Amino acid sequence: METTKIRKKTTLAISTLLFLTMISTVMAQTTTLSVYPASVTKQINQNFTIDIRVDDVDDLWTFQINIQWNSAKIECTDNEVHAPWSNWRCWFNETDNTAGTYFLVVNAEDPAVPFSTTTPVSLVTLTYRTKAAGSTPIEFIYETVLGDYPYADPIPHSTADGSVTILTPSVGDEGISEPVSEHELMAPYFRIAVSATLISIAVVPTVIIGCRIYNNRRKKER
Amino acid sequence: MKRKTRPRTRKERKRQKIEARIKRQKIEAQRRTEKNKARTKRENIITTSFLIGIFVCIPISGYFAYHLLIPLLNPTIEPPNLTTESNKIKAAIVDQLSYTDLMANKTFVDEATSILQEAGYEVDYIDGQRVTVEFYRELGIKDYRLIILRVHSVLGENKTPPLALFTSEPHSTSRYRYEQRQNQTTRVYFTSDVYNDTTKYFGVTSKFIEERMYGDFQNATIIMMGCDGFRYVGYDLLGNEYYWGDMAMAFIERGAKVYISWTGGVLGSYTDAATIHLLRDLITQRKTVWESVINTWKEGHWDPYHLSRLQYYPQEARDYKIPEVEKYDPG
Repeated sequence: METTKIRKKTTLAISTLLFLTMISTVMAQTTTLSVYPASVTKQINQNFTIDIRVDDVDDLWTFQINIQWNSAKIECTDNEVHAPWSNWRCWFNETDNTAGTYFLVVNAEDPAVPFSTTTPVSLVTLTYRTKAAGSTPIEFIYETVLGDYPYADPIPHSTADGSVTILTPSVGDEGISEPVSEHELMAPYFRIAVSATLISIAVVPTVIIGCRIYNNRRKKER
Repeated sequence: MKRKTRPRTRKERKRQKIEARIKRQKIEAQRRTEKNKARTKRENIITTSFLIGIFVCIPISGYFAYHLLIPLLNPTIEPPNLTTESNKIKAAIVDQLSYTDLMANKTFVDEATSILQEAGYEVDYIDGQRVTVEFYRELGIKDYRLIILRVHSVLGENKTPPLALFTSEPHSTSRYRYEQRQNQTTRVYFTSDVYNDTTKYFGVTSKFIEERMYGDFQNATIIMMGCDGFRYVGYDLLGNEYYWGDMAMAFIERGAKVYISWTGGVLGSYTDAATIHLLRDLITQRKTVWESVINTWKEGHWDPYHLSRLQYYPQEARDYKIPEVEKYDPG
């Protein structure tokens, strides 16, 4: 009876220990690399920005990001790297709007301090322009790398993709109808009238003076 | 003081007389010349002023005459004599939105055409290039029993009526002058760079439909897919939501049976999807106007961005069912 009780207690203790170990393991792997905002809705021909954020990371010393989107729907027009160190080097910063990919490799350099955070921090801001109606993911491809200090050992992390929905514009709501004023309608005719008046003011005296000179000459000739 | 001496001889007296006469004649001639000069000068001034006056007055009076008279002149144009070759019941898809690649939607056109053709309609597709002021003028004489207006439509400043339907005809102050003066046509354009189009076009207002259009719609069904086909007014005496639309009234005034459109702004993709759903209900399943409109709304075909939905006018058309093609009254 006593033995059974001890066994039960031992089993319970081991189970609890295992559960706590699992929880702590899961809790430890909370470093995430995400697209923010996760969902964007825009109309055609509009600009928007997304951030690639890192959250809950310790001793970050280097990172490599590969993302992809549908190049028929959106195009990347600008990028701004926000490396979280005082001294760093950018090895690759390439946008390919034909393939719809962005590739960024950055690492810190001495005397920078390894970066740690428990809140989301933007590593790069990408500006896009929508091209056609539909939707596209903005997803991490290949292997994203977060390396720690000092040997850039991989930091276990998860990734969270984003998505963009592109809507066609409204059928007229962003337009205006305005009546054409009388002034505008008459403007060309008024210009003609003014021109004719000015011409006549200039031409009539010239003709009269010319006639008189001609007459005087004829008189003299006689 | 020098005294005048009397002539001594007869000869001298005669000479003196002649000299005096010559002197008088000279003075007279001089006076006459001066008088003539003054008269000529006066005449010249009068002539010049007269001519200047005429040249100035003609254009100015022309300008004012035109300005005053043109509103009274109502240019009446004879409607063209259109003879329909087939006896089929016709429907039209007026696709002004196809004028730009941005809003073109071939899938919509194909689906709508297919629904109509399956129901026995002969479908006329009018692409964006052909949607002009003249096209709208002749819309009423083409004998369409169902007209789908896939067009941009815009209100005035501060969203005030009248509503104007876009044409694809660039605006000019030298064309449709009478219509422009009467606010039957307006200048319409986009205020957002989303459209990537800064051109100003002619728009036709409800006044144009009422006053400048030939023929009438012979109980046709009008589906106006553009924005703001109706405006929310409030509640009527029976407590129902009340919508008003000058364009709706104009079409009904010109003989249409029912006018269906949106209660506010609407995005291109939503209006396309909703219209296909509406057509299936109206034409294929032969539901009443009210059932079709409500069902389209309930099935999720409304615009969550503008919070708008389809609505119909007039209320009497609530239980109207579009007749089967064979049962249309040919008259």
